[in-house]
Amino acid sequence: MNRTFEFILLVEDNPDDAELTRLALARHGLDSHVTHVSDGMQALDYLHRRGAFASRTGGNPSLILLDLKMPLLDGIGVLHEIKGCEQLHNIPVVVLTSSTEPSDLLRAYTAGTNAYMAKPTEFSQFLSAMKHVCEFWININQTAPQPSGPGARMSAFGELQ
Amino acid sequence: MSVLFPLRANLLGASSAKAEGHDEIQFLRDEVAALMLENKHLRQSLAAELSNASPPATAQQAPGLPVQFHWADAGARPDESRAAQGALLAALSSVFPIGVFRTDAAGLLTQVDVNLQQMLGLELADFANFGWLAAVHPQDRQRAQDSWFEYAMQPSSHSMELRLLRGDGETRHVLMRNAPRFDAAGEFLGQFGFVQDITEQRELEADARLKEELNRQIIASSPDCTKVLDLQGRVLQMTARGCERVEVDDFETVRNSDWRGWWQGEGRASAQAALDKAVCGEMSRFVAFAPTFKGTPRWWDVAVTPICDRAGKPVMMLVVSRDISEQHRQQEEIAALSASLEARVQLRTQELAEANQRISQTLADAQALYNQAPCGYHSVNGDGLFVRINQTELDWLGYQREEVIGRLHFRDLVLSEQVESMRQHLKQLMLGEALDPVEVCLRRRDGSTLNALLTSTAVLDAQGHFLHTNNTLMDISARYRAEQALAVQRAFLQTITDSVPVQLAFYDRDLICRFANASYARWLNLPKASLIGLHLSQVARPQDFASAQAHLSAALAGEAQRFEGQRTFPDGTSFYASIECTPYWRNSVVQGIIIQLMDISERKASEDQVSAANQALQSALAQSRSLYNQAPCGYHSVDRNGVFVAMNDTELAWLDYSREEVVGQLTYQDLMVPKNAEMLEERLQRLMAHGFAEPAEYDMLRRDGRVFPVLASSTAVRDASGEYLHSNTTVVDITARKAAELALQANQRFIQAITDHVPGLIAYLDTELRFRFANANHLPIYGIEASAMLGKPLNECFSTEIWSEIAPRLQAALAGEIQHFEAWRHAAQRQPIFISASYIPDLHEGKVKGIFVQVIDITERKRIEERVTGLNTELEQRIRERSIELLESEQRFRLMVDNIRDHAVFFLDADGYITDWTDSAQRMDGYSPTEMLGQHYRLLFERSDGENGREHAEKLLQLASSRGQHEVYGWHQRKDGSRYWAHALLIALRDDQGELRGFAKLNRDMTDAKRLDDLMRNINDELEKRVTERTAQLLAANKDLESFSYSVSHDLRSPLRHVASFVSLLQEHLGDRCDEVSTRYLGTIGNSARHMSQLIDGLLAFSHLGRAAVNIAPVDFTLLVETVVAQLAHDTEGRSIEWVLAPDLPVVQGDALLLREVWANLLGNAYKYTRPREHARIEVGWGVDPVKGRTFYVRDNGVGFDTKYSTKLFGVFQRLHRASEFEGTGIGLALTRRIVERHGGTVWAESQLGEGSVFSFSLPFESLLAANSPPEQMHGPQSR
Repeated sequence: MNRTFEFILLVEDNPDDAELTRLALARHGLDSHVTHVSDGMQALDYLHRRGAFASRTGGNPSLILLDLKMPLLDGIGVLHEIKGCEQLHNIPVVVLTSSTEPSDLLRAYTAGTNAYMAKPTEFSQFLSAMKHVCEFWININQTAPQPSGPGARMSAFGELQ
Repeated sequence: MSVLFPLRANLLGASSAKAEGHDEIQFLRDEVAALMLENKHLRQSLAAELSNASPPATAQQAPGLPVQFHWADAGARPDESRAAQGALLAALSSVFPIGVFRTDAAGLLTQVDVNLQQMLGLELADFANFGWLAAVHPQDRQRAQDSWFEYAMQPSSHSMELRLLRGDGETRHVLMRNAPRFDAAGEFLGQFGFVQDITEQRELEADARLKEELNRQIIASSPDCTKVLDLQGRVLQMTARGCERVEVDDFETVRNSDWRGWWQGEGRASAQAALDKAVCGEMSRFVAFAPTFKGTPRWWDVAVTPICDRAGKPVMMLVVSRDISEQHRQQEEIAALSASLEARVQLRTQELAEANQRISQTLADAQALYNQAPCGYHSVNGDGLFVRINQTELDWLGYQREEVIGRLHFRDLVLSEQVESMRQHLKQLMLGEALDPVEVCLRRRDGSTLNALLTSTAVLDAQGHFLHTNNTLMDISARYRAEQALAVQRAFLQTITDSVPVQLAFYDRDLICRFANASYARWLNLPKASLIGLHLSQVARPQDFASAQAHLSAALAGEAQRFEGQRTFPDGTSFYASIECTPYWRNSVVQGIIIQLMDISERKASEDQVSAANQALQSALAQSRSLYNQAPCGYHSVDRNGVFVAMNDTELAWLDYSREEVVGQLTYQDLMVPKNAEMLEERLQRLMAHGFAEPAEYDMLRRDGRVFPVLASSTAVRDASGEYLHSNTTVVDITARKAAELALQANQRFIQAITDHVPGLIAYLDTELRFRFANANHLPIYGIEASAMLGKPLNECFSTEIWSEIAPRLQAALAGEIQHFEAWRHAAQRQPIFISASYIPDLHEGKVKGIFVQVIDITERKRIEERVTGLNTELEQRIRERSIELLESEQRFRLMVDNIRDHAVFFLDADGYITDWTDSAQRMDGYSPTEMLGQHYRLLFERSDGENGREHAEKLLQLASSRGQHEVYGWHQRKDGSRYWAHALLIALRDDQGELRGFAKLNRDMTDAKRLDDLMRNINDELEKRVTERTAQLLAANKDLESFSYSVSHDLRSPLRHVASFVSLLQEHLGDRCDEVSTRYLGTIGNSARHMSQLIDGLLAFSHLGRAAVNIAPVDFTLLVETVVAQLAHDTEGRSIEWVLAPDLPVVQGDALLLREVWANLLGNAYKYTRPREHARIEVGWGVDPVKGRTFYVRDNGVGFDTKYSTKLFGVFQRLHRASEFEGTGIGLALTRRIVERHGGTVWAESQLGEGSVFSFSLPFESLLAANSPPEQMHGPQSR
């Protein structure tokens, strides 16, 4: 496993949310491992090294934290693209959203997300939820990622609330 | 009261001690009286408070007051009075937390009791010099002081309310009252003062005011006109929105106006009724019209609710009037629409009724047509049971319709021998076979019979199943009778011909016997019937058949034959028959031959006898001639004088003379009789002159005088010179010959006698047509004696008329041809007779020797034949008459057909070409007969249907031809282009042989019915469309709700989360730098955000529930409740909770997740609201209600709630407790109610404030759940 690629891609259009997420990750010591893009199109550009990211160096993230409601291309669209792409579909995706709508949950899992996390209102709860994400991230960076289908390792998470 | 009330310490606590004697007693009595008054006042106040009823008069009797004073009249002794006073005071202070003080007449405090000191939190010493004012709330101090100065010295009672501010900062509300004390003389002694702590009361009041304000706000925010009325119906209060609604600019203008006056007419009555009900405590509601104060017309939905005091007694009324003008207008529009629809439907109904009437008229016409048709109609079902029959047939049969329909089988009516064939007939019909008409014989009710021709067709339904048969009966009795009459005539003919002694038979061209008379049959010894149909060769003996072959062929070729031959009776006796084979001509073709045998054995026998007699004669003559020539005959010779010159012995012997005596002695005259003298003389002369004399017969005289006949022939003997010498005469004795001749004559007379008795005329003509024989029958016919005819030429015997007729035939007969002919003869003095005559040549050695004539009187036969002919003619005449009748009946039918309304009837030939275009068709379709006759009827389709019309027309013909008839509905176009909806019936017409002769087509105008049908369909379609639109609207609304909840979920939660999170971060960030106030503010912000987040979650959950599907499955409530309880009990916060769970909670049908929510809410509430209890008890149980189904309850001993708000409990965001007391979002019970209702159940609550609550819900029995579950398809696909 190439350790140089151990970073998390955060896809979040709301700067406040992005900040909160980064803060939460920072609490768990992962701040420096986060790359943030602010909408779905950017996320895909980033992953495919297109447009503004045509010249980026380094590999692909080992985890994607994905917001659902975004302008231009929403999280579901990004999920479809990632899970439909040969090179990208092995990257675990955690949907990170405000919505507790069952339909969103269903859509996200149908599109192939590995985990779904509805962000709690309480920051402390959010922190503890993010702790799971971080543990997960650490876990996948310590062992070789299984080439198996998405979701297999995600069962420990399920819906976090 | 002036400046100060210095406390006179010596007075305080000592005043009682100073009282002495009577004064003291009086004083005490006064005090006791005052205390009693106070006690009374307090009791009243308490009672008022408890009952919340204002009139103190009623409260006085209120039971349950905590203290009752039994005060005997104050004793005369001061110590007793004092003790009583003390007890009274103690009692008062223990029950009512009141403080007591006394003042003197100057308004100075003389006594302050312990309660008051505690109440004010002051020592006794602090009271002096208005020291007590320090305990009064700063805001009330001035007022307290002012009041004291004003009232303390007044001999009257006053009260005032004050607030105290205690040292611990708590504010207490107190009520101060004073009662003046007087001495016996009525002089004012001072005041008796009471201070009562009413803090609690005031707080409750404040609370109530708050609630009232809240209610007011709620009411004010309602879009309705909300008013408060007093019991007299006066308007006390009205919301601002209410003023807007009724268009009142300033409420003051209507304040205290009579609300009923706002209404008019019915509205006023309704208002009055509602008020009356409200006064009785009942709520009521009505809808009425009333203009606003500015005259805008409005409809109002008015609810009048009594506002009750605690005792449930109405004190005021709340009137909420909702402006429903818009709804009302809509309702009116709907009503108008309904009314117009109703009117249209009624109109249509009427049209339908009229159409129905027309149809039923037509039906009646058709029925009449059916019933009065000149033939019988009936229909039978598969069992042969009559289902329909027309009047004609009923009349024929002599039955009533009721006796026949459904009761009789057709086969019940036929003769027993036809029953089986009728059964078969029906079976074949049901199998779809087309049957030829059959003749049936029906038995009438009176037992007589009716011959009829039955034509049957099967009627099938649209699926081709057999329904019933249609049968037409033609009365053929007349025909049958005619046939029978003919048969009788034939039998008569037969009888007649049978009685003719002639064997008569008729053989057709194939020599098959078709007729034979009795003689013929008798001859053959066969029954006449068995003879019919036999071939001649089977009838005749082979040799006879062979011999007659030539004659038969000739006869069949057209020539009549007559021949004779030997025939034999079966018994072996033979007879001689004259056989005639006469060709029977009809239509110039020989149809057969009539064979007539006549027994002519007797005639033959006579003929034979004649012939034999002739032969005997011949031989007798020959013998006589031989005697003359060879046997002895006489010879003699006489000279010119007649003297015998010679005579032979034979003659001499005959004469008995000797030669000597004769020769030369006697002359011939001597030996003759005188009668011969002249003849002999003349003979002699002739002899001498001519040399010979013909033989002559004469008599010769013998010696003895006898004579004997002789035949003498003489020749003259002359000498050489030719001179007569003598004669040579040969004499023959002809005596024997003469005798034979006489015998022959006798014989002939015998023949004559026989032939005279043979029927008919028999005659024989010689070649010169002289009668050689004629029998006696000539006399009656020709008037001539047969004997007179003999030897006469025929032409002399008959008239020239007859002669000219028969002469050619006689000539032909003489030429050898047999002649037969028939003719009328007019016999004298008799009826004309018809004869059959035969001339048969008498061939003898190839020559015609004569003609046999046979004439038979066949007048009788002729008459019979003529009679038969006459009968035939008569029969033909009758058939002609019948045809005319039929023609007339056809014309009558035609007249009916032409006059049928709403029908077009026309006729087609077998190929579909129009053969008859009736008036009805012309009237209906507009075409004239000249346009349509000869046209193919598809022309009627092609105009509207083009190429399809042709196929359609052909198909219809085929269907009608194969099924008997075919029905079809469709549009028909008239000549003018207008259309009508036709019920078309195509009926195949077949003749008696079942040959398709054509079709009848009946088009019936059903346009009215069709239009009505279409109209109803349109209305239905419209309703359908409205339902669809409504459904679409609902789905759209649902969609909107979904997207709204999506937005809420995403967009509303985010900012809250940010607030909560950043507040928490800020707190962390500030850490110790954060002061107490900031911490509190941040806490509030965070809590608000969290609370709002909970509210949103609750709302979302609530909205999901409205849309989500309910997944019904068995749910074990025992497990479910245990789980929920376990979760709650997990975190009991050190509380003592007793859970009492029914052990037998059932398994129900429902959505487990949703029902878990119900239990979680109810148990959670119980858990929450029992928090103040030291020992909480929460009980779960269940029961069965026959109506509601299973009921479940959660009972707690918590704080409870006021039952009057129980209906509000289940509304969204409705709470009965302050958030500070019990946390919560106010969504839980709303959610609970929704879930239960979606399961078809109900939820309710009961409570006693402060003692606990029972929350219950019901679930219907399983069988009802499915029926009660709401229509899920309205909600989009959802998952949970």
